[in-house]
Amino acid sequence: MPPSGVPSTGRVSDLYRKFGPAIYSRCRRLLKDDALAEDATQEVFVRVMRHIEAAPDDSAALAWIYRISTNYCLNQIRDRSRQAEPTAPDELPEGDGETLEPQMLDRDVAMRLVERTPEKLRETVILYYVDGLEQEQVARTLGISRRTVINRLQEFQERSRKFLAREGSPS
Amino acid sequence: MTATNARGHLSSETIDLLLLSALASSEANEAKAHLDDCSLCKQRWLELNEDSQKFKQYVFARTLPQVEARLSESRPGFFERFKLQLLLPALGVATAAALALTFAAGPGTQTEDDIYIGVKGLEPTFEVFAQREAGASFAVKANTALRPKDKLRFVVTPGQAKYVLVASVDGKGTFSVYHPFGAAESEKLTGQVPRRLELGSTVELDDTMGTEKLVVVLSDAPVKAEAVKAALLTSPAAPKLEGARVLTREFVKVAP
Repeated sequence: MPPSGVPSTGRVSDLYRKFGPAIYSRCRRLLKDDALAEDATQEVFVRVMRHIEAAPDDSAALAWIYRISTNYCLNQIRDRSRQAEPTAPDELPEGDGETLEPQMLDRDVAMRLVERTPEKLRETVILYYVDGLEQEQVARTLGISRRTVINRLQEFQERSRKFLAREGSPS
Repeated sequence: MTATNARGHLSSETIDLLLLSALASSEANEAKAHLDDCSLCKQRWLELNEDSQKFKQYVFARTLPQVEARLSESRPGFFERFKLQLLLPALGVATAAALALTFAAGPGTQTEDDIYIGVKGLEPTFEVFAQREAGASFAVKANTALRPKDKLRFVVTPGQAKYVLVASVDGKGTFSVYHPFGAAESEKLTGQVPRRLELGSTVELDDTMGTEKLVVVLSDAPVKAEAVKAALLTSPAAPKLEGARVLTREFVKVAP
C-alpha cells in the first residue's frame, strides 16, 4: 500500500470488481432506484475501502459492507421521505396478529414497514428481516448485545402489528 | 455450520459469499441444494446474479474512474496526522508502522470511522487497538469482532487526570483490571505525560465469548478496583464514579 494509505489502482479495481456487485445489489434493494443505487455504490465502496485492508476474510468485509451500505441507504431514504408522499397504508398486507414473519419475507413489504419505523430500530430490522441475518450476527455487525437486538425487534413487531391492525388489509 | 438461518432461509451474507465463492465447500453445497428447494432464496440468488451481471456490464467501467479519483483524494486528514505525530515518538518502530497503516487508512475528516470516545480535543479519550497474531494493529470499534488470543493495547488522552485504570467485564460477567494489570487501584501518571498516552499493558484475550465491556477511569485521586467493579456491575451501561471520568467501549469476542 502506498504511503497515503490508499490501495494501488489495480487493487482498487480488483476489489471494486469483487465487492461492487454485492454493494450495488444491496443498494438497489434498499433504494429501489438504479441511478441512486449506482451513486450509492460508489459512496459505499469508498467508505468500505477505508477499512477493507484490515478485514481478515470476505465475511468480515461483508459485515462492513452491510453496515456502511445500510446506514448510507437509510440516510438517503430518510432524506427522500422528507419530500416524498408516504406509501398509501392500504397497499400493505394485513398481519395475522401473531407474527410478522410471513409479511417480512417480502422485502418490499419489509422495506415499507421499515420506512415507518423509528430510526434507532431501522438498521437492526433491515439486517434481521431484509438480510436474514441471525440475531447473533446482527449483534456482532452492529456491535450491540443480542438482548438489544431482541428488544429492538420486539419493539418493531409491536409497532408494525399495531399499524397493520389499524390500517387493515388491501381492498 | 449450517447454510440456512433459524428461519429456514439463506441469509444475504450466505448468498453473497456463495457468489464470491467464499463459502466452505460443504456449506456451498448445502446452500446450492437449498436453492433448488426454496423459491424465495432462489429468487434472491437470481436477483443477486442479475445485479452482478448488470454491475459488471454497465456500472463497473463507467464508475471505476470516479471511485479511483475519490480514493486518491483520501489523504489522512487533520486528526489522522495529529494522532500519528503524537504517537510516533512514544511507540516502537513496529507498532508505529502498524498503527500508521490504521491511521492512514482512515478518512480525512471526523466521520463514522472516528475511533474516539467522548469529546475530541483536550477532553479525555479512550482508544483500543488490537493485534491478531503477527498481523497489523487495528482499531477496535463498536462493530469489531475480536477473537481469543488477540492482543489489546490502550491509548488514552488523560487530560488533566493524574490517575488511570483500565478494566473489563467479559461475556460471563468476570471483572478484570487490564491496566495496571491485576492491580488493586489506579496507576499514577508521572513525569511529562504526553497529551495522548499509550499505556504499557498488553492484554491477550481469553476464550470467554460474548460482549466484553472496557472502561477507562481517569481521576485526580487513586480509585480502587473494587469501586470500579461495583460501578460496572451496578450500572453497566453508564458506570459512574465520583471524582472520576469513566469512558467505555464494547466489543464482541467470537470463535475463530
